[in-house]
Amino acid sequence: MEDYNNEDSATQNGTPNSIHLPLALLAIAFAIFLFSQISSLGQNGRSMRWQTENLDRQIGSLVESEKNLGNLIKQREALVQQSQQVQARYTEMLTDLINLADTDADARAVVDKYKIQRQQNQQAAPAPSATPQATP
Amino acid sequence: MPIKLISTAAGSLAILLSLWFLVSNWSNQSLARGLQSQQDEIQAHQLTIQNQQQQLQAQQQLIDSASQLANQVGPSVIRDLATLQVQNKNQKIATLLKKYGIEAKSN
Repeated sequence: MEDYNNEDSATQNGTPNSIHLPLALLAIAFAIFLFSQISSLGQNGRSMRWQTENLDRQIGSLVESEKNLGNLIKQREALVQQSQQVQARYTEMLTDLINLADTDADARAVVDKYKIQRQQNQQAAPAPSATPQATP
Repeated sequence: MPIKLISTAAGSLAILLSLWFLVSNWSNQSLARGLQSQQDEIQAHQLTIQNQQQQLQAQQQLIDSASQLANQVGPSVIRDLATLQVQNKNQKIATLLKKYGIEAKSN
């Protein structure tokens, strides 16, 4: 019994130290590891917040550009409509001229001079390279 | 006894840091999702702007084409037609010009 007590007291005196020391070391090592990871996460977080701010600014700029382009398109709509009317009117006239050129030599001469021809979509148009020369 | 205390303190610190790590990780994941969403939004805006630029380009082409037709080629063709109609007394061309409200008269 006395021997047992002696052995027990030895365990009480020796074991805690032998267990707590490696535990403490492990915990400290783990804490250091976690601290480094948290530090890294913190840096990443700051970087992402900075990116978020930049992206916010970029979105603002894009929205502004989008708005400006939309306004520009709207402003030009009247001019575009007018251009379409002009083009349609001339296309109609040039188509009639091409049709007339089949039977009329003067019309043929003008068609040839300006290289007016039907395009694939059946619209008459002068050749882009044609240089108009006004006849007095 | 001091080792016991150090061990307990280090363990507690490790637990606290673990919790902090988890919270930081969630926070970063949330930020990453936010970034992704912003990037998607930017992509959508860029696509819209690209479409608008194409639309503007098409408008400009139409305007340029009509302008060239109305200011350069068209008047020259009409002038030539009018001259030929007057010179050759071409009734067919006269009819054509009249259809579009143009009347040529000899000086």
